Amino acid sequence: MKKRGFRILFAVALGVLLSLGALAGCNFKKTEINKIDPDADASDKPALKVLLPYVSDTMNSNPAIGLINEMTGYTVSYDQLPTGASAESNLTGIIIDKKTDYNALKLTKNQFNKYAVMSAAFADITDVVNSPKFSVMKNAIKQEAWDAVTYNGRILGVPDSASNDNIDKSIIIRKDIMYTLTNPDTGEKYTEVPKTFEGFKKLLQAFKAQTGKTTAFTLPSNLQVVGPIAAAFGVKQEWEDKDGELKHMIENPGFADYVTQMRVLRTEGLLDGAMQTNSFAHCAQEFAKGNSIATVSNFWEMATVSEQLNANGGKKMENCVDFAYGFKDANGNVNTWQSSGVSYVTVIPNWMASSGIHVMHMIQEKLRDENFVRLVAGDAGVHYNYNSITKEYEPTARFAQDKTSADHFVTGTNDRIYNTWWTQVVVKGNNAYYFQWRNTNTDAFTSADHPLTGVLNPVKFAPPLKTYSGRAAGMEDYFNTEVTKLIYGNDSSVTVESVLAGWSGGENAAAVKEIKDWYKNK
Amino acid sequence: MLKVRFKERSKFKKYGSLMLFLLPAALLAFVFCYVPMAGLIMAFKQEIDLTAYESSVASIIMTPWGGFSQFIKLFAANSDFLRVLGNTLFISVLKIVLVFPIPIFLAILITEVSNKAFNKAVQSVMYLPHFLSWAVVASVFMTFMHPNTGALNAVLGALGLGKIDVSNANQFPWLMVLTTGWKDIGWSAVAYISAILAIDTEQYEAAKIDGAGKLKQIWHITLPGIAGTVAVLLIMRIGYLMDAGFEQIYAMLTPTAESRGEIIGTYIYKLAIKNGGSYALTTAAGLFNSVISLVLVLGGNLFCKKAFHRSIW
Repeated sequence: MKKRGFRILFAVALGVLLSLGALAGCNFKKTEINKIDPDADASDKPALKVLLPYVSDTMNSNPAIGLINEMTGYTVSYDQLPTGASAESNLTGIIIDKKTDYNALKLTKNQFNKYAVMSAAFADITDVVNSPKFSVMKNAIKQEAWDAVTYNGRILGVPDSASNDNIDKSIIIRKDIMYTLTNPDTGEKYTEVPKTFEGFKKLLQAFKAQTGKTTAFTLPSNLQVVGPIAAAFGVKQEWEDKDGELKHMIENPGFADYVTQMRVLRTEGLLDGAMQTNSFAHCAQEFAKGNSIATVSNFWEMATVSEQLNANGGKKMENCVDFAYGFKDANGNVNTWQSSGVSYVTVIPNWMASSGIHVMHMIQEKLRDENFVRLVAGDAGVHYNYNSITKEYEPTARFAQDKTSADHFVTGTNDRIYNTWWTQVVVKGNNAYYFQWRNTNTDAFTSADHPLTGVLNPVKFAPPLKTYSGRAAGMEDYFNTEVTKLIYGNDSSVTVESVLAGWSGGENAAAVKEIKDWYKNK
Repeated sequence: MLKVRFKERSKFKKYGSLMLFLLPAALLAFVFCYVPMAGLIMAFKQEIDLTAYESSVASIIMTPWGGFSQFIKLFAANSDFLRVLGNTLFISVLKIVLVFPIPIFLAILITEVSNKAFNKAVQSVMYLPHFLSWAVVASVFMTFMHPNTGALNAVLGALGLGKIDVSNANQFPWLMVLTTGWKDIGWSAVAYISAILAIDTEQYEAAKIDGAGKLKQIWHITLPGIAGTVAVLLIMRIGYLMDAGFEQIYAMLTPTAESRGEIIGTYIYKLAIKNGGSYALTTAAGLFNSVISLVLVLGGNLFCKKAFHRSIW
């Protein structure tokens, strides 16, 4: 009995100890959002530490670091988050621990949204942005980008806008193989990329029939909705304005047609059935080997395609690749998904607000026109030369060496000049980028016989929203999983209607209502 | 009673200095296994905002109580939790039935090999896969089993045996058993090899003199000799029944295999993302998981005690 009593006593003591342990060091003071005072003394220039998303294993030897220190007068050191899913858990740890000494965090817009709606994760920089002392910073960034980082009337970060309004993803086609195929309709060899989805399907059929290869169109596992094809069925963006109301693509009547057509491609053996296990690198490899005549690529992924082509017999992009950036819809229009909006946000952790004024000065210095150009494009005569005949800035070999990953060190974009410089110099830093850029973004939009209309996603400029911000990632994950099942699976219980019900029902209903209300009232 | 207490006290006196060596391990266990248990109160709270108070612990404590609302949410009619629970148990039981006995036989075979060099080489090769992460193993297997370009499927196709497809819901649980076996059988055999080596060799010599052949020696000496180790490892494995292998399945699960492949671990992970990092809901799911695991361990211990007269407690 005494032994039992001792055990109970021990258990109680352990419980008390655990509770005391948990409470030890607790601060029961409610957190308040700290404001950065624009007039605070910033005469000393302390060393600053910034956390970036994953850049590369050689991040700390990037020439941009020295340049920023020279331009701003601050000595800034950098850490980076890991790649993949562990970045999220690491970041959560940093936010809730409230003890790390990062003076600033550069977050993706989704990460920013998630934490901005918490009680007090980031310091309030509203007074700084509105102060005449920081007019350079305020005027460098467009107003809609500032709006996208404002929550409850407080500006909580400095936004990076997408460098330009690019075509989101293009279907890329092996034109060298296409030219060898006979169009079953005309009996003649193909001479150009088909302009309709039906024509594209016929090309895939011709490839399969005439080469005997079974994965005519290969896609990576993270690509459920192929923009150029979806747009042909009226699904022009993830979120679209439909008669003044914000609608998600799953609510678009054309989405069922898109799914049906993709299933037809799969059942006819034209679409790679192994999509769920494909990486983009695998797709690029199959494309380069000629096992697939088509895949889908972002412009920045074209470097991988270029490398793979080169590795497969030294093929050149110019000789092998053409683009199907959009197909004619039922009305004869050609639309495509365009990317835009705020991509990254630099924030000051609330617990590091006391040094926030230095971060603001550092960012403002980086945003001055001359400094920003030096950061992203480099120096005239060193990184680029002006060609008075073509009236274009041409990058030198040094550009690729110094500037390829300089954009990772951008904290806030100078929207007035970024597009010009990016178009003129940055995209030419690599032939692969340049080739894609010229073929899609320049030629496509001005093509005489096949003009393209880019459609933007309004939600890319949405501010953090209390409910939607927390659930957006889950809703997207659910949507992608279920659409994969719709196209590649055989479960008859999964239908477009069931996906719509799951996506917009239950606890997601409040999130959907919130984002739609924001759009209606903005 | 007095005699027992005296015996315990004198034991402590005798081995007290040795027990000091236990202290660091006990301290670590306390700090990293027991102290975090205080966080279980999150399962009974409403949604928690960890930045609401200066200290995260204060944020948890000051969040209003939510009773069993998180558990109700977990088992709500539209929740997939029961299906996921079924998948977890199915994959775990498959692993126990099909994988657990193999290291025992493997250990017996290895210890029966008299060529020491061959023995060592085989053991080293067998242990190697254990040290690869599941991300690497998954990547290797996915490449080998790729429906279009996988070498394994090419061989199976040439033999007219059909294809292995990791995206096929019906094949998925069996593929998990196969990959677990490939990765962990060699390593699991280590404990049995040491148990076999600890058996007194005189018993084998006596058996030989009595005319027992190899099989009889194994049946009457080796197997009873390692029964205790088998029982302990079986009980421990039963304790992991609710953990069908998060890392492995997370790395290999595809949407169309979810119906039979999603397990509690991956479900909780998804739930956390879906609910914007809902600490309360995911803690509730984790607590439920742990309670069932505890019941299984105690049940397994009782079963081994009754059936084999061997147990941990």
